[in-house]
Amino acid sequence: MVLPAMIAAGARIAPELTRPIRAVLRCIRVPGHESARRTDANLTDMLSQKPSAVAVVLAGGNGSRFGAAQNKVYLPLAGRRVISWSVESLARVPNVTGIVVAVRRDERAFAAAVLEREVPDAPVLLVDGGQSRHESEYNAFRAIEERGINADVLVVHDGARPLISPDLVSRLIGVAYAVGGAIPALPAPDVVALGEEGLIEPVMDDAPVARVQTPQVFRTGAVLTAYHAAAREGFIGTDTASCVEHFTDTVVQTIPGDDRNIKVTYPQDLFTAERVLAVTHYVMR
Amino acid sequence: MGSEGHAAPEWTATVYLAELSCGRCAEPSLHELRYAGRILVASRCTNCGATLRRADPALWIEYLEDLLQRVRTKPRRMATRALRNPRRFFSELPKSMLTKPVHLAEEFRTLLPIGKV
Repeated sequence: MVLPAMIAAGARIAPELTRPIRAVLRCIRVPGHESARRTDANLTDMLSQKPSAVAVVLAGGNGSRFGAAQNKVYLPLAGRRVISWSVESLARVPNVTGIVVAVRRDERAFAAAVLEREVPDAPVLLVDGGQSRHESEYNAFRAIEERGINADVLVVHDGARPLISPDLVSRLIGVAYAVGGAIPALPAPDVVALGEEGLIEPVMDDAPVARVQTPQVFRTGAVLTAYHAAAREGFIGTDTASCVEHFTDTVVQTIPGDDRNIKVTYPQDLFTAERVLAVTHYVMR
Repeated sequence: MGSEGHAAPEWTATVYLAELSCGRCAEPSLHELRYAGRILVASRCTNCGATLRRADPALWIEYLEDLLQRVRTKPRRMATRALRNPRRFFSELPKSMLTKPVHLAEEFRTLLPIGKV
């Protein structure tokens, strides 16, 4: 969809050009606000506002079979820990008013010390993560709700993606606020479907396939509605979008992701991330 | 956010162990990561021995630039930490001063490919 991308880029759009889109947007149901049908006037207001956002950074990981292993979000990377780069990038987004970091209970003190030293100015709140990504997300969302922290949208980010650009986050926030949800995605033209014994099978329907990244951004009401419903039904989503889409009819719009927004998975990812950060003349703390 | 009495993590280790996926084993395994200062020099899969090691001539130049920057910014960083938590800073200072030469020697050893991953 072109409109959200243009909005995110700060373009001023003539009202007559956006009329068809606005007609569609008026039909979008926002969980918790079903009775409030939007008018052209309040949609225009909404698009011109700067939505507030709270970021959730997942730093719990999946645990390790190896007792000596360091959680990869705390590995050194260009003078800081991996997670500090993620937190700093999110803190640089003007819309982001707070950052909730979900950490393993036994790493809480270490995480606090790391963040206090490396990103002392970031508005961080630590919460205990859970046994799964979904549970960590829910713990963070409940912490936000219980503390009465207000935000138009929630930005869910993987702590092991240190190269997230504030510009991409800003664009995602703008699109999510306008349509309900936004996730970054990259085309994956080299993907194949595997059948039994590793044999290649045709990809169903010839539908375009994409690699999804984080952060994933959604209107706060949609996220809370979805995760409370998931808790009641024992549903565990693979990512935030899967849960929101399962329990609400929120529109989730993809926007172009960023090749540099890698997730530290292989050792070579650390080498790559270090090279990328080196050219940005990183600051040491 | 509070540190809850936990010591601020210093850059004292040049070797870290982390669970990462191995391109050769094609499964998650424990990896040994070797750093010289702020620069990652090598990684080795402890399961299959697959090794990645920077061997480019720029490594030493980058390391020396990094070392110079660390030296140049050290006074400011020490002052910041002293002001933020004087008690912790002065209690840790003697140990830091004593171990710093050892850490530097370890960094140089890490950069030398002989007998290393």
